[in-house]
Amino acid sequence: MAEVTAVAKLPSNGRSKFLQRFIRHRLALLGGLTLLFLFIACFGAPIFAPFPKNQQDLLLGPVPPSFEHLLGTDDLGRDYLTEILYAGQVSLLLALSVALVSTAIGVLVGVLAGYKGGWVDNLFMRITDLFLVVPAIALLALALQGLGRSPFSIVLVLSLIGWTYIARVVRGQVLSLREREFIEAARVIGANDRQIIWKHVLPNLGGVIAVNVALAVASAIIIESTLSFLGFGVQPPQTSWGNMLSQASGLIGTSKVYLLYFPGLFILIAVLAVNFVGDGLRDALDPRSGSGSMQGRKRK
Amino acid sequence: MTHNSTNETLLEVNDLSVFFHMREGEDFFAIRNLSLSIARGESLGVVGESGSGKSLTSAAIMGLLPANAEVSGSIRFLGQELIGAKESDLRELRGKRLAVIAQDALTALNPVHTVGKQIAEAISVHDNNLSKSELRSRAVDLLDLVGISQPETRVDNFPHEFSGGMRQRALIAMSVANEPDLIIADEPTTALDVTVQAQILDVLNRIQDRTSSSLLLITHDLGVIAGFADRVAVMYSGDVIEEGGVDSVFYETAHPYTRGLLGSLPRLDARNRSEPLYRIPGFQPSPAQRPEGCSFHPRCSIAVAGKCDTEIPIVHRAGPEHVARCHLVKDQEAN
Repeated sequence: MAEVTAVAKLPSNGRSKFLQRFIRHRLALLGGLTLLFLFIACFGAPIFAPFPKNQQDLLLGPVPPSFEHLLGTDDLGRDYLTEILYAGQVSLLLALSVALVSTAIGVLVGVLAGYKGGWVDNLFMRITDLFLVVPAIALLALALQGLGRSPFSIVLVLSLIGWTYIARVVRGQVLSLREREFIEAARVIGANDRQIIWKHVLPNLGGVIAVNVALAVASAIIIESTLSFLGFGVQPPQTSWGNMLSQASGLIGTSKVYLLYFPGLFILIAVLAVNFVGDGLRDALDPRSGSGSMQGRKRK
Repeated sequence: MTHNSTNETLLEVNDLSVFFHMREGEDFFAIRNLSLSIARGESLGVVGESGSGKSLTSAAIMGLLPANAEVSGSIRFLGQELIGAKESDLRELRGKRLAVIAQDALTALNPVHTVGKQIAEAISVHDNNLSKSELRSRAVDLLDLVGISQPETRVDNFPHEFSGGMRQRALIAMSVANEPDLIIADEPTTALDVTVQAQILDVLNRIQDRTSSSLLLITHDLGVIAGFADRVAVMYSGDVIEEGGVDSVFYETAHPYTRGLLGSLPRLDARNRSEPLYRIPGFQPSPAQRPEGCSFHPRCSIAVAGKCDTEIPIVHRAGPEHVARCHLVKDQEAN
């Protein structure tokens, strides 16, 4: 019997397989490391930043990148790398919170709508449509005007706008999952709805959710930057990459244009890295892909 | 092939009808006045063409019919009425007293969990006092029971790492995890090749001997029934048209449909190879457009005009413990 000889002596530990697959995905690994580096650099800024926060050197004024000031200094003579690292704390934290909160809302709505079907589905999806048709930026600007522009209200408002996409994707997935036979099989062994959702529906959404969190981080960084750039986001004296861009927006064509480039570069790197991680997560979380499959084993 | 069967009735289905409300088209009865019973330890085979209502009957017993189905009649299991029972009571029975071995092993396992975890779930859904290691060792024992080699390694495999036969075994392991009183095997071997089929039937046989559970074996393979079941019920168009002991149904066939089914089996000893296989003329009617009278009469070679095409036949006794729903069967004295 083929099934007897096929037993391979390989580590069957799920977590180590996941790591193996993730590491095999080069770009994801690169993205992950970059992101890790960014996080450590930003949140370890009190240790790693070359200068203390907000240390001004009015006599020095704005100087282009040099060995002493790797990314130059701004008008007040503050070291720009230091400023960017501290601003990154706000940008990254906001983006991560928005991604997690909006995904949580979206998954909840999507799973309930898809699993329950009927009027629950109709109600939830019409509400989703309602959120989708409202122009996001305008709503954000208005809402932030009303709620105040604290980081908390920014997270709240961005999450309330951002959950619609994942809700629709999750609902679609659940609609098809619900008809799969293993869900019926779970019902047959006596599982209730809660057990079925936790043990059979959600784990099968792992890839979608992980990818969405990553993409949502990326888009949250961009939206936050956009809002801050427009003046509706993070308010000075608090800084984020977005409002650093905004403050430097008038400098195109001057010698101080590097003040515009560097925050933009950081946004670009962070968004790209997060996207690569999302890709890698999607591949690694699918137990049928990569080294988990029979083909993968034969290659070894 | 009588397993330690007793006379205690485990499951009794009486006058079961399943009615479908269609959004478009006419409403129809998919199952019409069906009656069945299974004693403890007994194996009942259910045969019939695709669409005759075999799987729907099992869904009705489990209380897992589609939402647009309306069910009437009575299903008594261990003396408890299942039709109209509370969902939470049914959940308590499912997987514990009443188990189903699913039709398609390829899709009935969740691809993201290991096989061991899914077997453990079948146990922990009904008993959450067991520790992880206890559950795991139970899963290993069950895999061993269904004849999977190296169960300690295999328990951590994902379903895609199993072959078709092994997945079917894993499903059997899941369904017998709580030593249920009744196992409904819905075409457990259709997706498998013949040698694996024999192994799976052997596993079922062993488990039944060990746990003295009853088996409702749904299949369209008459050979499997002949070798495996104590009694057989033949379904046609949503109804049991003949039922009795395997030998008496196979050798003293009463209903012309059953005779047709048996006659259309290919035979190794047929001398004349050029002679085409026998087939019953026509097709099974759609349940939405059942003919008047006996639903088999348009295809029946011995149908009597004026009777078979007008009156729905009642159940006649064709022998001791052998009944058929046909006007042409003469009632025998039960002795």
